Amino acid sequence: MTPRDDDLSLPPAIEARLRSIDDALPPTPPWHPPTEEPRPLRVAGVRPASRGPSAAVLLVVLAAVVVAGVWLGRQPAVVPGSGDASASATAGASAPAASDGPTAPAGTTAPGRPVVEVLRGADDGDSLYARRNGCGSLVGADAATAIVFDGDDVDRAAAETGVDAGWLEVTAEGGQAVRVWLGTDPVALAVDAATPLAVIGGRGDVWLGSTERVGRWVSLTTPAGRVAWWQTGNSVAAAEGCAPARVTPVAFGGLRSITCGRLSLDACKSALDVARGAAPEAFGPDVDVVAESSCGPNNRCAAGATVDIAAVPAGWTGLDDVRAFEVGDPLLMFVVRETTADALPAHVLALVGRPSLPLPTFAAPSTGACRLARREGALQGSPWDERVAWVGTSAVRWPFGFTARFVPDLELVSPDGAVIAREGDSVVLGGGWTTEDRPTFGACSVNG
Amino acid sequence: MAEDPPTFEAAYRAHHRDVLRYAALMLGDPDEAADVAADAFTRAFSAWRDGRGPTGRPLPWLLVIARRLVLDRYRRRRLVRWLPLVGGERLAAAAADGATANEVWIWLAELAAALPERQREVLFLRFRRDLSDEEIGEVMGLSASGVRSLLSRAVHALREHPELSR
Repeated sequence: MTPRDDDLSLPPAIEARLRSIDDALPPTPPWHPPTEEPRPLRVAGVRPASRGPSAAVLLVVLAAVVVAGVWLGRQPAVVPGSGDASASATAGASAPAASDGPTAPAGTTAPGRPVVEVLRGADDGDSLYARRNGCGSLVGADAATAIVFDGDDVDRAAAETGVDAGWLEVTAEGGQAVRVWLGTDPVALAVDAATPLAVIGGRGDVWLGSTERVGRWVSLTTPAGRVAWWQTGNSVAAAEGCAPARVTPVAFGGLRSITCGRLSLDACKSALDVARGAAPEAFGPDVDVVAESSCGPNNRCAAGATVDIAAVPAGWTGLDDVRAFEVGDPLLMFVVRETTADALPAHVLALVGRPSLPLPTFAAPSTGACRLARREGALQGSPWDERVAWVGTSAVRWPFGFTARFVPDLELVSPDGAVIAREGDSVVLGGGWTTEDRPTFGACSVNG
Repeated sequence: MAEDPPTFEAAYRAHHRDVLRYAALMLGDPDEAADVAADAFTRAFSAWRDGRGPTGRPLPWLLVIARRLVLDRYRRRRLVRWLPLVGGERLAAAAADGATANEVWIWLAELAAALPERQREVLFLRFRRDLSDEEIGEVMGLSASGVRSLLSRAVHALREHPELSR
């Protein structure tokens, strides 16, 4: 029997309830397509073949594997940072800096500066446990989830206490006390909170914790342009019977953060050791490191797949500061080659910490009337692009005093600290085209 | 004149919220819904790029992808044990807060207790009237008449739970 139309009509109250879901959902974030296919083989001193390595290259590599296997077989294994420098021989025979014999790791974890093991691009605490510990997890929440406060609360508390960065006690509406952390750098938050694990997602949230338990933190931008992080109360704990991690974060020793992509922790550590052996000065306590296999997401590795490593010092200002390495795949770990940052896949660079960068701006405030030419489009940006922030496809010279920051998506900040627009927002510029070599729109006003 | 085929980015902008809303209604959790929506569009992008995009309107196709991910989450939930909430403080605090955002999740939990999953799903897909019965059937693996029968049963079931209409 066919239902009558009035049998198919929802009660208005139900419809209203269902429609109210929209008020509880976050806005649509800008679309960032996944980038980069696995790249062809590149080993030290050998140009890549157009469709993979030649048979001659493979023969040379295989011979080297045998020789190195014999050589490595004579060396005792060691965990960097264990203090046994004499045994830190994993740099391998063909690493440039290893010619003088085994190389000690660049240093151990400095007191009060725990290494933060970062899983960027992972979804949540569950995925952290799956990848970090190889076990299941328990998900929970507590009353903190319902604490609501706004940016004014943070600005007021910061002004009263004189705190501009770091920890701050905020009294939310209703008298509830919330401890927040001020700053744009989630790795620094993890260091301050002494939580050696972090999952950094792309939606303004992070999961921080230890191998036993992690909690979710979300960021809030205040009217004064501060970024405050607070713990929501959502948490994940290791399931009973979960085996402890085989490699502790301190085993990565002497780094600020390490992100391992598409690699087991052991393979990640091995690749890092090789690169560090080749260039120990590139890896220090203020350096963020990403190591990622060029194998596909299904872990099917083409012959000669590499591990790409990027080492970026805190406060870096350009690609020249980035040290980049290619290490042979897990079977060819002794092959290391230092390369340039622009040779690394874009997403490996993007996995490293995103800094605040100076925007290209005019050197002084505009004095004349703003010209009538208009440019309208979506705000886009990348810390890896010299334009930093642009509109549509046009480079922009921004008004004096404007800055950009990546938290992790772009925010355009006016001289008074207000966030004018975020990545993907429609922006209207007033001004005119400049005489610079590259077509550049000189903006004297933003959004009116 | 033939229209240009839509770009993936245009489909994303047009339908991200629809996919997110569907996942949120099905899962009752905004964080999980955001994960599902992100994952769904990543998979959709891969298929689109490889020439395996939708043959008709993108929305039903995107919802089919999202639905598979939601079902995966349901299976996973059976494997994940939830820690007990501290004295029900979360719900109490949420109720005291009075925010719509919290109310709607509590109401969805009540709806989940009253209606079977497929009846809820057909309500969620139908109430905005942006999908035809045929398209809803495409998402749920039903004929159009099957969709109408299921919806009819859902509406009758709702009438037996007046507390949900308050």
